[in-house]
Amino acid sequence: MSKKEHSKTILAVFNDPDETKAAAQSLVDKGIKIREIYCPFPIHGIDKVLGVKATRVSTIAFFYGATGTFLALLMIWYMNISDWAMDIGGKPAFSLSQNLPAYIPITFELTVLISAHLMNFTYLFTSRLFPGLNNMNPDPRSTDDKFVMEIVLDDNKKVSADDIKGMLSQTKVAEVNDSHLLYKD
Amino acid sequence: MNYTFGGKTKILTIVLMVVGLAAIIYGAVATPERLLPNILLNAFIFTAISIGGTVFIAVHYAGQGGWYSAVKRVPEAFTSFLPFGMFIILALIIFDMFSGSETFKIWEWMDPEFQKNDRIYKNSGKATWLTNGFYIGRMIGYIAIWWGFSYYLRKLSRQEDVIGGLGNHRKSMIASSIFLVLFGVTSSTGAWDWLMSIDAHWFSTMFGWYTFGGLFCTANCMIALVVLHLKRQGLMPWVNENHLHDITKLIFAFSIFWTYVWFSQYMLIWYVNNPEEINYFLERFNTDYKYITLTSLVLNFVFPLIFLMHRNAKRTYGWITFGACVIVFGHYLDWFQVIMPGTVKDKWALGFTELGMFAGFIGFFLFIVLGALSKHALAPKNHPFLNEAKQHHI
Repeated sequence: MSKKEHSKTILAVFNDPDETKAAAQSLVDKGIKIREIYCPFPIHGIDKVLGVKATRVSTIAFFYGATGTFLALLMIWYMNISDWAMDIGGKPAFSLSQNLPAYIPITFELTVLISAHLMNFTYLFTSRLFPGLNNMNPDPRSTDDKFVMEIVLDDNKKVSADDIKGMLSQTKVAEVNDSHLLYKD
Repeated sequence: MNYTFGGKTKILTIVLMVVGLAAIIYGAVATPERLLPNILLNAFIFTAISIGGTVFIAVHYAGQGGWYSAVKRVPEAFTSFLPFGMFIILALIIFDMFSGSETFKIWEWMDPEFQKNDRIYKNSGKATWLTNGFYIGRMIGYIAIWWGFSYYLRKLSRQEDVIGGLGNHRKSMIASSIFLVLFGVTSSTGAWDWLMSIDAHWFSTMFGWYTFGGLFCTANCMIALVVLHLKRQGLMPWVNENHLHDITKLIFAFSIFWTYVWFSQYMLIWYVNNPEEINYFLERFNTDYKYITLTSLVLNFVFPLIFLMHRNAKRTYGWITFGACVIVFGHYLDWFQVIMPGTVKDKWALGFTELGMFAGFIGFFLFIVLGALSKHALAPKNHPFLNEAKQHHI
């Protein structure tokens, strides 16, 4: 593909989430690769149909949380034990472990705070979302009441565009439009 | 599709009940001071599981849940044990209040000498709450509210099979909402009356929620276990791993909730170190009870956290069975260390009296519940969310 021209796509517009899912299933069964489905709300089970890989964010969340726990305990240890030992309620002043119950709430909060923020940034980074980004949605109606299936022709070189449109016409598709990607592939 | 209660399962429950009876007789003869606290412990646990069944139904009615209608006949059957459990507790209360026995007793404050002479009891306002008449009156109130609503919800559900329509569903929603409000109050006061008043000098404002967390967690474990038993019989083909995933999520969530409340209660009392309050934890951490307390923390928090965290863990039947059994035993130990330090004190043991009686009550509970389950169809017929439940997918 030339670098100046964006890839040609077929946009199939649907009116109903279940019809979209059924159509996606029938196309995938015929060996068509669907690039993306834009929809106003998540369609349950569509990720399995499209073969989207399971997210690994839950694994990384554990490590972010562990980082948060460690940083929280380090902060408390430095503030309350090492730098300026406090005598609160007669509890042993120079021990982290003997005062641990009192530090659990803060540790918990920081674990949640740090893991949530880092997960959020990870999500934005892996989705390549950042402030000032141009709209990449090929059909704005998909933010309202339409379900838009995007099929990139370069992904499906073995079949012609007419074949794909023929397959789409067998589903409950509302419109089939020619378009091109709004971003460089 | 109906469940037939018979064969090996029935024999097993009867054997367990015989073991329990033997444990009661053995306990009365060999370890008399441990007898009544243990009956209270077991009666309370299985009352809690029964009312937990009603709470399960009521929560889903009030919250417009759908998936639960696939399994709702199981928690409904749990409520058939409720009168047995509650009347055993009532019998214990009446016996303790009026027998004046020195050996067979549970609640220290019921002793007339205690009520006359104890300064904390008289001066802290407990004397107005913990009086014989009011106490029994409250107990009858709990029976009326808990049993009444359980019976009414169960009746509406069975009637719905015959008459259909949405009328019974609406009535159930209203009844559930009222029940949940009343239960919010009575579960706290019930926990104070039966369990917290054992340590008559002590009090904790977290105690009601602490008991509720354990109660609902245990009830969900039992629901999962009975549903899996039915599935092993080849019944309930419409229930699949998606429904069990949701039940196990509740087990997981309420294990964490229980820990949250346990820790909140512990941390505040530990931090303030007030002699009036800290005694409760001194009894549980500076004596041999610490083994029970720490084990219950491991089984009720660390174990579910690790064991039930993963998605596949919540969807594998054998895995859930093992996890639920361990958590039920964990909550048994938790309530053991709530009841025993104030009643049998340092004479406690985890011997045949205790474990035999626990086995006996398991048999008794299952005998009543499975018997009730076999009398009605396992699937509600006209529940409006039944189709949603059958297509449930997560």
